Amino acid sequence: MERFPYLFAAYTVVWAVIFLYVWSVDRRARRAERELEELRKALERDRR
Amino acid sequence: MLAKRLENLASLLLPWLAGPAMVAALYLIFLVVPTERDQGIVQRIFYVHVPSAWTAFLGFFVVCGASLLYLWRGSPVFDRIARASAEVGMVFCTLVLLTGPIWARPIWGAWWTWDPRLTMTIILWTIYASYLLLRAFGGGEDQISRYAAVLGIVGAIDIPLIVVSVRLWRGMHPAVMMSRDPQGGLRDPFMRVTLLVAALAFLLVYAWLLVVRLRTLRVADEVAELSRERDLVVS
Repeated sequence: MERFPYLFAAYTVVWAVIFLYVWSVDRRARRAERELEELRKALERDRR
Repeated sequence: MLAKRLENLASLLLPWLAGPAMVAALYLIFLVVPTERDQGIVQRIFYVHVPSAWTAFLGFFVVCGASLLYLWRGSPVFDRIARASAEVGMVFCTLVLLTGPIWARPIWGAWWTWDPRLTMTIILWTIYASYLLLRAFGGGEDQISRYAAVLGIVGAIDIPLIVVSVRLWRGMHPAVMMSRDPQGGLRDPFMRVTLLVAALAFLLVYAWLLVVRLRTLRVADEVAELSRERDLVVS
């Protein structure tokens, strides 16, 4: 069991990297959706 | 319209497929598969290290294929697929480069060695890191997309070299999956099944992340188009 910390570290790294990436993509997706919505409203206003 | 519907369906279904597949893989890795005789418990890193490598290779092959199609047809859809796949491929390539040294330390006694396969893998990582930097800081012009497509195609040449490097140059990295030794390879059926299930789980996670990233890139392109339209309306 002396090698257990290496196994633990490897699986922790895998999950940490995947979760960080999912979080980063989610953040970018929300920002893009917000920008799109704001632009649509602004365009609607400009056309009036 | 059909593409959007497929995108919605995929982003709804894929997490429900990837999640159970990952749970099944973890169950097999920690509760079913036998402990390897020589390396002990740490050998279980193999079941995330190898699927990460396969998934990264798949991701970069998709970059190569989509880039070829982009150069041929000029469609922004292929450009977005290449860009999204490069990013997701980099996530898995990073996992290979992080789990490898953690596994190497107790087995080889060193975190890193300039073995041919390790060196080629870090070259692959650097090529696609350059690709992503070019996409991030090069601007949104078509010319940058074309340069990036060429880089994406050239980068994939490194993958077959990584695969054959263990045989060609005989470094420290073991050739488990390409072993010609009748006593080598994965002989235990549970080990083979676990590797396949883990590979399937990683493939589904890749597909899900790719679809999510593609949607973000499509929305970003729509934002850019609407901004241009608004500038025209204002002027």
